[in-house]
Amino acid sequence: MALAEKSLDSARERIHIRRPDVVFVRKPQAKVLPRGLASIVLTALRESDILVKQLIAATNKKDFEALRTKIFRDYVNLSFIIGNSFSVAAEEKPQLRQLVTKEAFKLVEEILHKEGIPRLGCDVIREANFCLDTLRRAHRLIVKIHAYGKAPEGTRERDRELSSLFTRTALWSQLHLDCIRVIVTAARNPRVEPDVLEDIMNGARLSVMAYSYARQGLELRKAQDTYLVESVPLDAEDEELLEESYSDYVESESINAEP
Amino acid sequence: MPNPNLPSSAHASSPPSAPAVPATPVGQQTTTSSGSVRLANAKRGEVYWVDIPKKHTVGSEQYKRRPFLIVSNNSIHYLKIVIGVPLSLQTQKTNRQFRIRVAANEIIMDQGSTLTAGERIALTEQVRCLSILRLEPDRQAKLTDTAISAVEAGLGFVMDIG
Repeated sequence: MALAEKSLDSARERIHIRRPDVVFVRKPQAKVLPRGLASIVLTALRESDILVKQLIAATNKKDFEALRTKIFRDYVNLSFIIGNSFSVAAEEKPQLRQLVTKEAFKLVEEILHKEGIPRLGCDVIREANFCLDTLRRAHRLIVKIHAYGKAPEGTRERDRELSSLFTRTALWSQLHLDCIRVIVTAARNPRVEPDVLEDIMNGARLSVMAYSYARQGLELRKAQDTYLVESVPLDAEDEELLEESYSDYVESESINAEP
Repeated sequence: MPNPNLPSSAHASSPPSAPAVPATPVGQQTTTSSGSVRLANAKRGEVYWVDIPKKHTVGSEQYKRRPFLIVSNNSIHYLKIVIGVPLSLQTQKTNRQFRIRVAANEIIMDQGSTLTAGERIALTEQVRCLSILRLEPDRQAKLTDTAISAVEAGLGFVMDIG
């Protein structure tokens, strides 16, 4: 987690955005858009794949990291083009972004399961699957955040900060998951250096941080109801269970034993 | 008629109301037929020592005295139980996936804490329910919001929720 974040910082990318506008899509999802927007998205996806192919061709860790720093801004811009295209279409169909994101995650998951194991082995695909699944959960939290609306007064600055951090980490993770997708679907099995693959996996791992920032953003919007954490009287069954646990525990063990 | 002993949030149709009868507050001394014990006042995101004897476990379940991160919602702690995840010092454990690395600077140690400082791994697959009797009463540390939310990402995967 910390290593991957350092790499992200070392890329010296500063993304200034107003709100999370990240959408995870692949080519089939572009087809649900009107022709003009679909064409924009397909072009952006094609350009994005070219960047990813350049990246996985790096022959060592140093080259990979240098190239990643160079292309990340372009990757982000392309992702915003895609996100904005879906935002335009979502004005008419509010559920569109949610639906296409869901389908895109499913599609990539299927690709990893089908093609991934023979190419990269079980361990790598298990890890990639975790990262993909966590990114999916992070996107689900964003849907909830949008449903809640604006953060309360006094938390807006923190909300903007979290939003920016979410976007950076989600796109960073997405870039690395794209690397894995391109590796496993390439017509010719590309040779990926082990240290490069390690970097790719560490980058994909930033989905955990994306989830964390999205979760904190959601937390800002939830009412902090103190009545929920005040003591509540136990009913007879609860009391009985508690009493039993005291007896069992005190009889069998010394409580609060020192090491 | 809603059960007044359930948290108010459990009744979708009834408005929240403060409980009329105070229960034994967590964090204080309590007396039972088995003796007097001091209970931990555990809250989500805090770390406590927990001793789980080997004879209480089977298979790959964790035992021994270990620091546990409390991950349960504070609103269930009136039941004198918490849900915790053990924090391991063995950060080189393979098969990372849902095991979440917690950087040393994300762990805010309490004064007098007996925890070894440093990076930890939250073993989210070992999540378990703990009676607060199992918790040593003194809090050892607290995790930042970023770290606790990151651990939640691992838990979401392990439990296939969220």
